[in-house]
Amino acid sequence: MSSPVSTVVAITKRIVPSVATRGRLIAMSLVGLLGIIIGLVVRNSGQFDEALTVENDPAYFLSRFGLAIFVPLVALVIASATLGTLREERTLVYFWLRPIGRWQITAASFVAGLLVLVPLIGIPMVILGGVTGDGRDIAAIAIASLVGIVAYGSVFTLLGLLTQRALAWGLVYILVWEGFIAGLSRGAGRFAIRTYTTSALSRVAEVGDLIDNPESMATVVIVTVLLAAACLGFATVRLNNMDVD
Amino acid sequence: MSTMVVVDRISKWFDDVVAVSDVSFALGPGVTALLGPNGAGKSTTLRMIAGLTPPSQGEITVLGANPRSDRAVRGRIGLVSQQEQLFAEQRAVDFVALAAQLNGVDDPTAAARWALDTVEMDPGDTRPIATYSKGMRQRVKVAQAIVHRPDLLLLDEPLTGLDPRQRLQMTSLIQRMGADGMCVIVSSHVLDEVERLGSNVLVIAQGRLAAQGDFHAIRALMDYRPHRIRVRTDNARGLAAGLLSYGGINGVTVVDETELIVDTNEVSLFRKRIAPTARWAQAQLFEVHPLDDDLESVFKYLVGR
Repeated sequence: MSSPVSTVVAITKRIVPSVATRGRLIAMSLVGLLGIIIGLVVRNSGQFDEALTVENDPAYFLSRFGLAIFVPLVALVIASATLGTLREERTLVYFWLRPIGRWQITAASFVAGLLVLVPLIGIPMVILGGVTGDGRDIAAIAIASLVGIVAYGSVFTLLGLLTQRALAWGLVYILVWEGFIAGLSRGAGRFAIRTYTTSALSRVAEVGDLIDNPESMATVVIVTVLLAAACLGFATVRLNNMDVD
Repeated sequence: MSTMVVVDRISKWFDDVVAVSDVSFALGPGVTALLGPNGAGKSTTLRMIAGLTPPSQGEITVLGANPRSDRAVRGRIGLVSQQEQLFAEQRAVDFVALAAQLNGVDDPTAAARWALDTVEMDPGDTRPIATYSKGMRQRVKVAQAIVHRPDLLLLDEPLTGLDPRQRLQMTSLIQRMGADGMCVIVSSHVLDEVERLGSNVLVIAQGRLAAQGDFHAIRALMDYRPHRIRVRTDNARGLAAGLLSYGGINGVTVVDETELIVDTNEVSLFRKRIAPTARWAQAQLFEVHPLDDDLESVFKYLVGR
């Protein structure tokens, strides 16, 4: 009888190839490459040399392109495909009808998403940090990206299970909620993951004006962990109660 | 005979559509065929027995427990669903070994090799499942369902996509598993398949259990029902007179000089008599065509009894 951990590992190994398809990897890598090219162009224009305002700070570019667009977009495409693909392709039954805990399926899906997202997001973001700034920005962007990967990863893993239109709803969340509504008030901002990724960048890179009233790192960590636990817990309950094709 | 599956007055509806209505039966070891036309509720019934979807009403007990909530019972069920998707980029042996591992089998690879061997697939095949034919995929699905040697095996249209030799082999495998004490439930909409699979038959039509019992009894029930047969000949009146002089014919309608419609409850008797009667009436037979012999009308008759 295999242990719970080895079961999670076995399912994870099965999910990773179905999520990390060649098409997805190429498309998402191109988006990352585009960001790096834009970063290079902006650096060569000399804009970052005159960092008198926050808009000229490399951290601002990392926040605006990297954390607001690249991280959530890649996380949406990959994480929503973990449980989402299993459900849509009707292969979920091969895990569901086994004498294993539902949480093991959820955990494996989340871990599979992380395994794909960490290099897919981490590498371009760290390069972007190096291209646009200094060592300070690299550490900051790595930590902020990790916060984004865990938070968006868990939310979009759940979304992929809940709806077949996960990409559409995810884009609505990223563009409408995070891009517009969350900026209207501090209260709404607390319900946006971008608030916490930008806070992490702001705290580590010590750039105070990236966001109004950035959250403390302790708050960032606690909210991220709680959010991931809540989303994965809900996904487990949903898996337990859903009809499986 | 120990009872392994108890289905107690289950119904299942999806919004306004009733898929299964007030179905009850109890099954022990051996092969049971779930026979019915497409859309009759066979797959939904199998899915409920597997615990994949709960009944809207009624109760299902598998090996003494609720298959939807009891984790241990899930490990004693094997399912070959109708959907065709498999993990296409994987090798068959890896896919089946994963099923074994998740079912807690001690040596998953050895179990996978045994299961693939049993369905006449090469365990050493290094090609991905994506390159397999429909019949090969079907056999891989059966292998993943039997790899942990379940007590209850549910097969939804398992002969679909198999060539005649593979059908024969699969039928014999199903019979063997039933004989070994496994409770095997096989759905099919093909009467001839069911005849070869086993003697116990549940007929499901329009979501209801229309008939249950030995295959031969069900077959007789289907034969001894009103049949309507069209006969084309060059002497319709003479042939009609000849047929009516025998018993077992409910009525004959002469459509014109070349066509008549025969109503009978004893179709096998009609089959025996039509040729000698035509010879007696000096009528040439051009066509003898049953007008209501499709399974749909057979099931409608059984439901309406």
